Amino acid sequence: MNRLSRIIWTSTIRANHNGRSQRRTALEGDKVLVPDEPYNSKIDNSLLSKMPPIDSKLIANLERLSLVRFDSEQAVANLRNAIRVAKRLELVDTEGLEPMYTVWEDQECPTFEDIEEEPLPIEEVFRNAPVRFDDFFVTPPGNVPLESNERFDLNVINEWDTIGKPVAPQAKSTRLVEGKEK
Amino acid sequence: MWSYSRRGFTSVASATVAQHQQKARYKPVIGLEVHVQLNTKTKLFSRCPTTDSSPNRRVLPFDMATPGTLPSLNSQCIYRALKMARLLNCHVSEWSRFDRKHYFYGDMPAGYQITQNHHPIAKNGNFGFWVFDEHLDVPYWKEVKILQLQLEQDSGKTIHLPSTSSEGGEGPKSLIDYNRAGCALIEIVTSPCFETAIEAIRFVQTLRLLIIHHNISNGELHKGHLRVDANVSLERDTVPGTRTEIKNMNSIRTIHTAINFEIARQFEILNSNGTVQKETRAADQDGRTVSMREKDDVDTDYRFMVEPNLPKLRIKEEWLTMAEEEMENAGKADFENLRDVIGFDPRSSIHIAEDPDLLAFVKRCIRLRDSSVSAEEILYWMKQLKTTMQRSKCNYPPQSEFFARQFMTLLNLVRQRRLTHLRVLDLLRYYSTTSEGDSSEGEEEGVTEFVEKHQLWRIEDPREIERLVGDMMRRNEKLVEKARNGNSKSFNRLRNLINEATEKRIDIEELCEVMKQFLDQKLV
Repeated sequence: MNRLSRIIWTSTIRANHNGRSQRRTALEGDKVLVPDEPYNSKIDNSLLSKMPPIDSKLIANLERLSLVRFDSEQAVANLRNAIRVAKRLELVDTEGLEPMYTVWEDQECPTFEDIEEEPLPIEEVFRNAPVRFDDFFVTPPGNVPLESNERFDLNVINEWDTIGKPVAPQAKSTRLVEGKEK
Repeated sequence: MWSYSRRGFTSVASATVAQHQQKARYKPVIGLEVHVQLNTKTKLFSRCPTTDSSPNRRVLPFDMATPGTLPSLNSQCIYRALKMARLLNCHVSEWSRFDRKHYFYGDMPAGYQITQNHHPIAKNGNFGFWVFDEHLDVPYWKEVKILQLQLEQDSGKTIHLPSTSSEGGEGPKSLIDYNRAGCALIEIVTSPCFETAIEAIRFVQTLRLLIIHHNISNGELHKGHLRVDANVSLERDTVPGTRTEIKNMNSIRTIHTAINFEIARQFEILNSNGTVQKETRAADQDGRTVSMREKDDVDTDYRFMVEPNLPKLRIKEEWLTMAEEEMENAGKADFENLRDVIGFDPRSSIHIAEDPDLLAFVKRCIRLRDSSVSAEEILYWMKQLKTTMQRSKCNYPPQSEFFARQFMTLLNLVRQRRLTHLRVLDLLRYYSTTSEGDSSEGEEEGVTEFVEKHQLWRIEDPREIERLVGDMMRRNEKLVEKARNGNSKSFNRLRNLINEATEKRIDIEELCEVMKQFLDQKLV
């Protein structure tokens, strides 16, 4: 069975185990749309293009793009699975179709008169700011280059992938100091 | 030794002949990206006012990317973009679309900038302007291709604070002001068709005057209303070279110096068989370019994606008509009028139009102008006036309407040869140092009355001139003797004596002529 569906399946079992009465809807009497049983994809995974090799360079690039640090080999393996699921979209026949970017494609962009509104009072502006310095927001310095030395054991990632251990294997000990300025 | 020239690529004193030959093989290739901040009352996608204020006082929820807020496009920004498109003879697309360009900086709160990368509002334009410089004998007309015009958001402003050095001090941090975040910009992308820094700055200068005139932007450079990026590379024997990008220049001088510096820097690298790194550079205070980012950052992936919250922007016919009408009503810019109607040369017309006081003075003069007075004459006497006023430590140009009237009257009188050159200089000094500052215009005496009262008209009658010269010569026989023997000092002294005695009423050339006749013919 596909790995992902197995995860969903087991978690659903767990949910079921806790009792069907726990499945609530926003309004009483609404139809429950999430199936009780996991849906097994009929997509033939062998038709999908090959997974790109996940090497340290790719990991570093993805981290830089997403501003998210992978904290373990398991996290990287999860990502790999997510990519595999997303790859199924490749099988959809889009020949000769212009990609859509919004469901409002036929709508025209509304325009507005150049008339000022009252800006937010300064206290409102800072209401969600964790740190404030006089009337400025405070952020860590931008544009700090990410170090990209080998942090993960690539074999462990693959191992996790094939065995499908629910617990992350031991991470490689070399961790770096985050946000260290070069 | 090669040294970085501030003057230009071609004028390095220490360059040897061999180096000159070497340089001739390289051709600088320069492309510009000009960011013009629009002078709309509100921001591009929010109705937040754009007036100056203390930090974070010009912020609406959308400007700081509060989740759940949506962009609402400002119609005035579209008009301004359409006017700009017409100014740069661009093709306005039937529809355009907005894209998200992602990068992570504190001053870009959403993590992306809304811009127009793939379907800009206008493209494929061309723009002509005069290129002039003190090193050029004659100005020439240059046309550049405009690749595209795009509407986009500005970022906020960041103040970088270094880490505090004391023990237990804090690490470096950035202070963010979102007042500018979301303000409307038009980015103009030119093709890489500039060959010198001079061409680049003349383009920016001309463009600036036009966008101010057509009410697209306030065009104040020191306020960052115009920010320029330049892509510079050296083409060798028609083989393109690696280019570097100089970011965020906001003064004409910086653009000039930084481009020249970069050309020289790249030449030095290439000439010693090095390789130019593709990178982003910044210009420092003196206009030197310095490496700005990590090398691999040049290949930053902006992950462009279509902005899903803004449907396609279809350009309505009536918008185009309105933009067109507005531009026609605005007429020609001052520098264009000075150049094309009055006949000022390209350099002077730009120079005058860039200085509001000078422009006001020239406009006053032109209103009073008799069409027989040429632009050259006005320029010549303005130069004389400037020297005179600077010598007497007065502020040039004079502000009053009264002075402008006297100035033009003097020009007419000297033109009609009713006053001598030297007399006019004296009168200029008199009027420029006395007529300024007080508002008692009505009481002041105009040039004509003053000249009439003091009898300062040029002496036209040749017999009268001969009589005066003869008189003076007879009274200074010793000087005459020396002058006749070829002593030029004595000749000049004699001339000055006559000049003073006649209150500069004889034309100086005419005077010299008559004096020579006297000396040669031994009439004395």
